Amino acid sequence: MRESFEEIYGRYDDLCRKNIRSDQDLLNFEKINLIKESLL
Amino acid sequence: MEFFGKDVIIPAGEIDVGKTYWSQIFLREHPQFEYFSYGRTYDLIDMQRTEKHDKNITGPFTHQSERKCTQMMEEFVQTANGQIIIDGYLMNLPFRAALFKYLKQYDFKIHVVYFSMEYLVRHFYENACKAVVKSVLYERYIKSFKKRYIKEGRIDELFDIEDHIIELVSKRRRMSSEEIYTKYLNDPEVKERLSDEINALIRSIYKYHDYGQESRIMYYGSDIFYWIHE
Repeated sequence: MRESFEEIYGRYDDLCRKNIRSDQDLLNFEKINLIKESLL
Repeated sequence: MEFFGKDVIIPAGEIDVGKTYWSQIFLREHPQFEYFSYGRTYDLIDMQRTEKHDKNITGPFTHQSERKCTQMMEEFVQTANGQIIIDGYLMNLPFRAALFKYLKQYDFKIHVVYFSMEYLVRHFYENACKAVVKSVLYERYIKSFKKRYIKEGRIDELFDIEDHIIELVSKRRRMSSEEIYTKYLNDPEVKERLSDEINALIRSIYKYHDYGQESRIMYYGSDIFYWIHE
């Protein structure tokens, strides 16, 4: 199921308002999520 | 540049470094690519791009018109045949990340082509790119590179560049994109020369450049990163 751009943007916008401040933060966040997904 | 079938090129870099200009040249060389300009679409719909920049707004959804042109971008992506350019303006972090994630849903290979100010000054000043005559950009250029050049002992080069800058700014040569295409690209002789130059650039410069982790992260989510400087 594909998401709309607005849905995806909303998610990233929320992240950036909270603890994601830089590309490095975002990259780390994504890496952690990938690891979590692979463990599930 | 190597293409894979479903490719999206995202020209990146500061405002007015020649991204759109380059895209138009690239499209003439690669007519199979379809072009979408986020900024231009925005201009057509509502508020002027300059106004947007003045307000330091770089992401979508702060205005109804932005939602509209984002929807247009979505339609463009969904109906594209395979190879596209998404030309935009300054993109903030959530916008950029979302765009890449959105494109990934459609299995695009994402090529980020990053343009530096140095590239602009060295390669586009003779081709009447409208941006290069803006003195403010030259000031930014000098600020960006002066320290580095001095540190590296490249004083003569710095003076050369500054001479060009002074000369160009004094000429105040301003041309719109349309004028560039009319005066330059419609002239077969100039077109051929320009084409040769662009091809030479593609051969010599558009190679993958490992510019280090930091720059790659800057364009987080891209599959291929091209660093274009001098």
